Amino acid sequence: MNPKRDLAITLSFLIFGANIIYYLMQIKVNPGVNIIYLKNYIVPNYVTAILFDWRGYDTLGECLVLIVAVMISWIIFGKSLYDNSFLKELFKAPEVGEYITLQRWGEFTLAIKYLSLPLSIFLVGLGIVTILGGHITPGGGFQGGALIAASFILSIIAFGSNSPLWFDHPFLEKLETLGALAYIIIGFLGMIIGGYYLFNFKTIFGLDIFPGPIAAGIIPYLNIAVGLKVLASLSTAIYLLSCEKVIIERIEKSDEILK
Amino acid sequence: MIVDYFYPSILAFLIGVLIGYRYRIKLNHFFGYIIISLIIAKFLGAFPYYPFPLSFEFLFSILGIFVGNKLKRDN
Repeated sequence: MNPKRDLAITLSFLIFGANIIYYLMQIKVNPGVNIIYLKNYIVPNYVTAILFDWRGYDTLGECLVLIVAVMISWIIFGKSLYDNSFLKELFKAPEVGEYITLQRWGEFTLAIKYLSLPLSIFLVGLGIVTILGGHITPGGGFQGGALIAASFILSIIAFGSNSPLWFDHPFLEKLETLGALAYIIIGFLGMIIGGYYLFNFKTIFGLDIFPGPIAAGIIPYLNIAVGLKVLASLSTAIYLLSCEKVIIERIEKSDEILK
Repeated sequence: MIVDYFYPSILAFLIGVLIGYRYRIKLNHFFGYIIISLIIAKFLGAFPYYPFPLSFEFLFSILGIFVGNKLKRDN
């Protein structure tokens, strides 16, 4: 490691962190519409009520936007640009089901590796709690899914190709499809029971669909669907970017051999 | 019913199993993780309207991760 580079990174990190803390200490939030919400109790979580109940269609659209974004990522970083079949022939790589066979690359220092595994496990736990508490606490599917994807990213950054937490391509595909399909199917159930698409029903055949102190109806399930979808989308993006590193390395190696 | 209050914990456990199954290495130090999880769960606190002293959802999700990891035969 270059000591000057380390020093520059440490200094920039300290200055950046000190700036953030300094400005967070001085922050003043204008009460605004908050006063009305605090005095008049309507629902436990206004944001979720708006996102998943009043504007369920909007959230469905957001999910589909993510799907399109991931599909385009696949097109850009996937097979179409980097056809690695010639590389496989060159290096006599074994044929596997997965698109890219990850070799050993990009491991970080021992200290970071020791910290990142427990951190990734606790981040997954926190992500799950954030997803499940979306109807009554700040958070929800998007944030929780992003937290779990963050644990995947942390694991990849620290361990490289030997990442202990590894979502392979077929799993991500299934998760993405499952998340989007669950959202659409729950919407159809609302249509059957209440007459409107994404109608929030609280009981089915006399049973609470989400038992608990607050009758949240379908909202927690929508949160779970969105959480799985966001987790799959962000993980797919990092999967592609990490694999791209391998492909570029291989292309460079093949160039050297061909020379 | 008090069982109703544990419904999110059961879901947390199931999602934990789903993610824990994807860990490629065998996760050790089970009791260490559980003790730290208990401390984190205590600081997180239960969801609003839930009469618990700590976040059982967090605890169950970590348990689920370990169970999912155990279910994987490769480890």
